[in-house]
Amino acid sequence: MKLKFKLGDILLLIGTLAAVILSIILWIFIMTNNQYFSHINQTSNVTEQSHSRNRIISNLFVPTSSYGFQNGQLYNLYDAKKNLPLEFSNELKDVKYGNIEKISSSRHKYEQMLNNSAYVQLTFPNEVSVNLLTKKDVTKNDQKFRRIFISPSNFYFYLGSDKSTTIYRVGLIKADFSRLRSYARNAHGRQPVKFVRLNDSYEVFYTQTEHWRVYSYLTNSQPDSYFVTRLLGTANVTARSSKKGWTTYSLNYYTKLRAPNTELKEADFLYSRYEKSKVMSTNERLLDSVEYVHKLGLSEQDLRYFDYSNGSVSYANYIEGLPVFLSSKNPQITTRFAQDAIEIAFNNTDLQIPIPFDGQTRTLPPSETVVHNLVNAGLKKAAIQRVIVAYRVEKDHSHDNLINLIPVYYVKAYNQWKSAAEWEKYGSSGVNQNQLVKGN
Amino acid sequence: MDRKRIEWLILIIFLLIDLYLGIEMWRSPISLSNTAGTTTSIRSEMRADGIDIPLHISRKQQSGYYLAAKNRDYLSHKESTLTQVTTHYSKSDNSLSATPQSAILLSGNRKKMLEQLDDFKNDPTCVPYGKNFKYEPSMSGENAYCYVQKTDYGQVYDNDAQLTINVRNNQIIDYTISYMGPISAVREPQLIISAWHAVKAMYTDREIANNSRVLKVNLGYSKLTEVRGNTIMLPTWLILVENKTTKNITVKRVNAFTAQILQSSSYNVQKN
Repeated sequence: MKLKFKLGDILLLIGTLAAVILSIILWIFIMTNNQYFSHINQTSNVTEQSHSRNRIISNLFVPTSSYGFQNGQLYNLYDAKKNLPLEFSNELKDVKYGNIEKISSSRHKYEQMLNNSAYVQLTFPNEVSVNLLTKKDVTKNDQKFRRIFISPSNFYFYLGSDKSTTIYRVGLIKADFSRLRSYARNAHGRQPVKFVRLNDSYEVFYTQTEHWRVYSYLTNSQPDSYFVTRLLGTANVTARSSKKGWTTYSLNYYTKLRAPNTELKEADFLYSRYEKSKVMSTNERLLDSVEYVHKLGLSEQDLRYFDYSNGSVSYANYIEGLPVFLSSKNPQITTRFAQDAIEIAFNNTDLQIPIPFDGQTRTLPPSETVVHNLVNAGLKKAAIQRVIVAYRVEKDHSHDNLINLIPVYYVKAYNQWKSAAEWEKYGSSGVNQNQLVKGN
Repeated sequence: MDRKRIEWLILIIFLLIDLYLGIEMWRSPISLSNTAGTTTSIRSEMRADGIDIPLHISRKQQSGYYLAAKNRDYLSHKESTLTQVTTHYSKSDNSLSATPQSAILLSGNRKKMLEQLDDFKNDPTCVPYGKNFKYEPSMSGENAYCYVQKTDYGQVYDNDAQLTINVRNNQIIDYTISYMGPISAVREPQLIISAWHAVKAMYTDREIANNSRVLKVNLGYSKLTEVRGNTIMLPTWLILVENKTTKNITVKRVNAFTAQILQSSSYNVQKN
């Protein structure tokens, strides 16, 4: 009887101790779980964020150029009243997708397709994945492509990867591209072009001297405090100015924002956060970068996906089909996912209000002349990855915050973007180009 | 025995604490957000605030343009062509007022009267550029018929692009017109927010007062700024909100590119 009483006592003691220990464990778990608390603040916004994220993806990942044929000649199509890539994106919204099948990987067939006058072509500035275009997991392999070939049929279109010269056929349900084809047929702006294989993509080469319009914009630049609040928050942020013209704002040892002082014209802000990188697919990396782009709070109206290389994703403002380089090497935002850190370089200038075209133009030579000049200046032809026409920014002194967008050739070589004029100087300065390769 | 009671008491208290902490952990904050969508919750929040909204507000994104008009005087030189009316041109606000020289009587119901008013405004000897204006019922009152300037891209909602014909006792009393001139697109079209997104932005920015009714959501163009001798316009969602008590109607504007509320751009609709 006594033994039974003692056993009950021991069990009660053990039970009480277990309950106390469990309470402590649960309490510590809740108190130390950052995710739990950060979610409390975000609760009402989670669904909102998912809606908004899809909208941002739709706006950022839009084809930026369109091409069509007339009398056997390939043209870069442009229409001030009809934005062809936007029309394509709108028509995709109600489309359902069928099978995706690989048609060919032959370079010969790919080049035949590029020059087939039956198709209207829309291109992204660099490769994207199928699931990103469809915003649905329509394929497990999530094939990469750069080019969309709109066929005369509404039951399928083709996707083309410049890199692998692979063509995929995508079955479509409820698609109707007749309006897009009609816009393409009647597009007012037409520049004769040809596709030239450079490195691992087919670049658009303008075959004639062209007069390009100079556009003007009123700009708006947010101060440091705006980005500090958005990226680091308002509590526990310390600021330290350096003599070299930078101010570094730190939230903690791991999260920092480096802001240029006003004397450092054109310089980019740099946000960095140390964290161990996850293994991510191209698609996941592109989507992850979207979160950071939106977090910056810059105007996203003209912002488009621009480039992807070595884990870096860049976004540029596209004005009338051409990208804008707000600083000499960076279009507007570049997100870089390194092994132990995430870095976002960005320019705080927003193109706010467009000014009517006042008749100013710039004349640019054919693309082949530009490549020829670069090679003559000493740049290795094999190093040239891309040649595009883009805008550089020039301040207009007639009005505060007024800038002019001057069309010039930009060239990507050794994974770096510079204007053709800068590359010419680089080539002729005798800089060892092998160092550029190592620098990457 | 007392010690045993205390032990039981401690056990029960801690079991209850464990149960509470367990429920808190299980009731993850993420699951709280798993509502049937923000749309439903915002709609019900609005209903709780006494705000009525139309059953169907489009969620489809459309496209819009930045537009520009050259700042010129388009009306003063038209005075000589207006032979049926007596005119007065005001240089300060670039508007023209006119009174018919002979009485113009209107007959029939409102629809018939509108047809007769259309004939009047489309007559170039009565109203300059009249064919470039379209009747806007939401801005019109019982005796004031309001017309807005139309363009290839949509209608312009601004005091500088408006025609108001005043009618009393079935007779046209006078009219006032302001005209922006030909309007063209500054850049290619861009994607704009949906009508529902605009209403939501207004509500979350506390721009819709409690106990009111959203009557209509229209897409139109509004003046943004003047630069280099041009007026720049941008697409805006115009949201007509009626106060349920006073029946006053206020028109508010949302920037259709950015979803920001255009400050100091709201105005009241005269209903008399």
